Amino acid sequence: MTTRDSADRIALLQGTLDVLILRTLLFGKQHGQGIARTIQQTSNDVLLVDHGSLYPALQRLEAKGWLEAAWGVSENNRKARFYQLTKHGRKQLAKETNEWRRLVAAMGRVLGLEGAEG
Amino acid sequence: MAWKRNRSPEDFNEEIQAHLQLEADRLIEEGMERDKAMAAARRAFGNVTSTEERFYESSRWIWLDHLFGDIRYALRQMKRMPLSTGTIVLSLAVGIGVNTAIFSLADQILVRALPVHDPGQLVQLHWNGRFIGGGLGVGSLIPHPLYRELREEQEVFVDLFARSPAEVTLSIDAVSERVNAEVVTGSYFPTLGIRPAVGRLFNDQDNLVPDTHPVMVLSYDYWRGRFGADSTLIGRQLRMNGYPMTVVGVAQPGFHGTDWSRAPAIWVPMMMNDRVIGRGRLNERRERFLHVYARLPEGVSRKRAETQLQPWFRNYLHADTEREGWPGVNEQRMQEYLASTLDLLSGRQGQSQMQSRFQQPVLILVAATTLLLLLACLNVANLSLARTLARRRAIALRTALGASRARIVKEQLIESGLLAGAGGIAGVLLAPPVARSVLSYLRTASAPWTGDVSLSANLDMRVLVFALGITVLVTLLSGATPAFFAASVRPVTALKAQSSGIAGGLGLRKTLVVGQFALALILLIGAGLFARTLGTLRALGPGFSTTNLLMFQVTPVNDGYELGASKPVLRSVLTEVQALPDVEQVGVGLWELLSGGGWGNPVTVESSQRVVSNENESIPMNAVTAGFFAALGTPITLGRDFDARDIRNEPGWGLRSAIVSEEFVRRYIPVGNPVGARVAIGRDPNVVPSIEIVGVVKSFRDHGLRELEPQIFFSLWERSVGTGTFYVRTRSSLAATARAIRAAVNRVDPVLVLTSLRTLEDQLDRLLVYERMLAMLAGAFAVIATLLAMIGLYGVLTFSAACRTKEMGIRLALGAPRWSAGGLIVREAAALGATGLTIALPASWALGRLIENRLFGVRPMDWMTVAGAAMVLALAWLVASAVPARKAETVNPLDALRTD
Repeated sequence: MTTRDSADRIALLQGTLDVLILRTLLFGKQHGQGIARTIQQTSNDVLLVDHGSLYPALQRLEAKGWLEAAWGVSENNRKARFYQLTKHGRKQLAKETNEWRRLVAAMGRVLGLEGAEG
Repeated sequence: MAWKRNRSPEDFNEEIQAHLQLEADRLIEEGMERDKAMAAARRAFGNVTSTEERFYESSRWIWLDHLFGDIRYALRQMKRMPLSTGTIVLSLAVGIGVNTAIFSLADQILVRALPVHDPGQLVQLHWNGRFIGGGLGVGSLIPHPLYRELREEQEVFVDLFARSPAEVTLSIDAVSERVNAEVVTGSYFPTLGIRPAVGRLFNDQDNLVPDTHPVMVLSYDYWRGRFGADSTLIGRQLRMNGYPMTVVGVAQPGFHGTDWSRAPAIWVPMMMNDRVIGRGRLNERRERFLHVYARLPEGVSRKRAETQLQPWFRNYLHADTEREGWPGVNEQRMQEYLASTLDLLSGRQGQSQMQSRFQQPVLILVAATTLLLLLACLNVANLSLARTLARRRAIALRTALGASRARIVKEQLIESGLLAGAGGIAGVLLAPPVARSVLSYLRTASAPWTGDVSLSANLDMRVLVFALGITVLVTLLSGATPAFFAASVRPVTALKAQSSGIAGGLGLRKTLVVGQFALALILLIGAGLFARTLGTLRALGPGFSTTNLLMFQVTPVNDGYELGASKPVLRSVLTEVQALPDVEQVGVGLWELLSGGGWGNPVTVESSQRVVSNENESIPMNAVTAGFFAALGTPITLGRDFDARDIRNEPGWGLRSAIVSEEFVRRYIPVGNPVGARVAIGRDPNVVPSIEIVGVVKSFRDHGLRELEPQIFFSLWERSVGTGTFYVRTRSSLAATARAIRAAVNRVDPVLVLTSLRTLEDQLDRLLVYERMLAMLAGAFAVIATLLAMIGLYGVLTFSAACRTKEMGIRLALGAPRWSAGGLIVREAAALGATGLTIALPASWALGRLIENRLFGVRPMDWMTVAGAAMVLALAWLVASAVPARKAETVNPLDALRTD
């Protein structure tokens, strides 16, 4: 699904997209395309968001009540659907961030990587 | 709550379009050309449609969506085949409706408990063994003193109550009417846990001293129906059997006493029994007329209570034999008396002597309706199969395109479910009218008890659950075959549409039609047997002419007369009626003829030898006036009729003369002249036959029409008499005579209430109500079953003709005459019928044994009935095959050969 420089990029693992979306929205409202770009940029173009999976994921998170959405206008005056974290969503982000830290640390220990934190 | 989202697919699509636009904007910003940028954005996004589908599927209960789709599909299929859809729904409506109605009645008659507090703890006391003395009533009877002592002394029960049914004359202002009453003890309402709707009910304070409690309680239905729920009635006095009684309250709605076959309009305290009802005597230990019920304590079983009760009862029996006035009985009877036990029967359904009488007819009904439902199911399965067969190409196509077998089976079952659902709803709507019409039969059936049947035609929750249950069952029964068939459709054969490819389905349908034929024939034979039984009994009759014969009853003791003053009143009525113009002859009997029961006793006869009637045999008896036999038209064949010699004007009970029937003579006075022989009531060795036989009358039938009974008649005017049934042979029209009779009775005393005024033909019909009910119901079922079988045959022949169009075409093209095509179809019908016959005959032979005791004058495998039923069905078969046969004859060979 990658379009450019596919060798440098990592397709997202199942389940990781949700936490990335939540994290991205921590700084405020954003529309789908913006979320995808922000993830890509903040990961220094390493993480590639499959656009086709993004929207069902947003839909899912909205259904769980972690996100709210409303139609609005983008910075370049395009109509777009903006997503925002709910109180629930913030709590979930904190929980999942914590779980990720533990997972990464554990993976690091198992794989014997330097600098893994406990 | 994922499914509760209100976002539309369009909105989602718009968001994706917005995304593509934003992405393209960014690419242009990064320097890409406008048209390339849009394409690149799309590529980056991937498959838009697939994303949209994922949204669609995530956004609802997808199975529900499929279900709606399937339902829409099924509805479309139904609309496309309106005739078969209509037939299916109608078949099911009849099947489910009739079953629901009968279930509702059977439930009320055989299963349902009294609507009282904790009916499971109620027991009825049953004297098991020999009772020394007499009794009045049916069922398990107990004398009043035993009840009273039980209530005072025993500690096994929470409480006890006694009740006795009665029929009384109630006079409100100047209007009198006969109503059912229940004579009850003060503990009746408290033990049953019944509360008043208005006023108060009885308690122990209403049952202390004989003759001093002139109060009554009305039933809610009577209060509403007769008095328009007038609450000022409380505290008013009504005259009951001429005695003023005050209304103190109304019982709670829905309570109809302890006997559903005889719902009381009023309740009367037991202490008023002797004074007002005159039925049984409260202080008489040798006379039992009460039904006694008790409530068991929580957690005490019937068996345990029964065991605990016996020592007390043994003491009672021993004390009884030492009491003053204990009759001299022989040692054997004494031992039998002392060995009696007081058993506890279940009391949860109340007084249930009607149950045993209704049990068999109800069970026959249940069996017949179940058979009917089965027949309807076969028909529906058959028609559904035809529908599926007609759609086999569509199914094959869908299978070929990848539809799973499960999905196709599911569609079939959904369609069956919808049809059964529609049939079920229609059936539930149909059930109350069906129940009402059966009930109207039961109401006349209860005529011998002059009772009011408290059964309801309305459906309650249990019955609705039952209806739902059979609807589900029907869905599975009738949907399984077509579903199974649909699943087995092979795309290759079905798409080629060769006739041979569907032969399997046709075979199955033929089997179903054979089954229908067999069931219809069984029901027709049954209907024929019941109709012949009814016809034989009606033609046989009582043995005297019932035309132009009227009867009516007058009971002065119920209208305020003392027993001693009653006889002159009855004699005045007789004189008045006899004096009417157009009245040929009037006679009076003590007991009603052809009422299905009456008075009977064992007898001892002394002619040239002493003959005693068999144990357990009860010789039917009646007391009649001179002219009674002349009114009936049964001749005195030997000796004389009663006359002035047999009338006693002073008080007294001794019987002096008797007239016996020829059948009595045949059985008990085999040799010698019966006139002058002597008889006595009872079969003890010490009875002295002192009643002289003065005449012999030609035998007629009374208690049961089915056999000729020996009968004894005593002279009515010889003893005190409180009631009389008059028999009037008239020359004029029955209606005119009935009017004249009313006027004549009114002339004697306007207070007299005239009851049971009807013709003897009506009386005979009432006696034959069960036979008529069985014949009518079996006939109705047989007609429906035949119609259902015809529909089934029509369906299978039409289909079979369609399958054989090509064959017909070839035959016709080769020069076969046109009628031969129709002949093929008729021959097929005949083959199906013949197979059905071979199943039906042994089956009806087996079933016939079950109804053997309901039949009269005809054997269960009466060949004429069987042949008649078979002929009726054969005719129906011919009619049903006429249309398809006609169609086959009009086949155009050219068209036929071109198909497929």
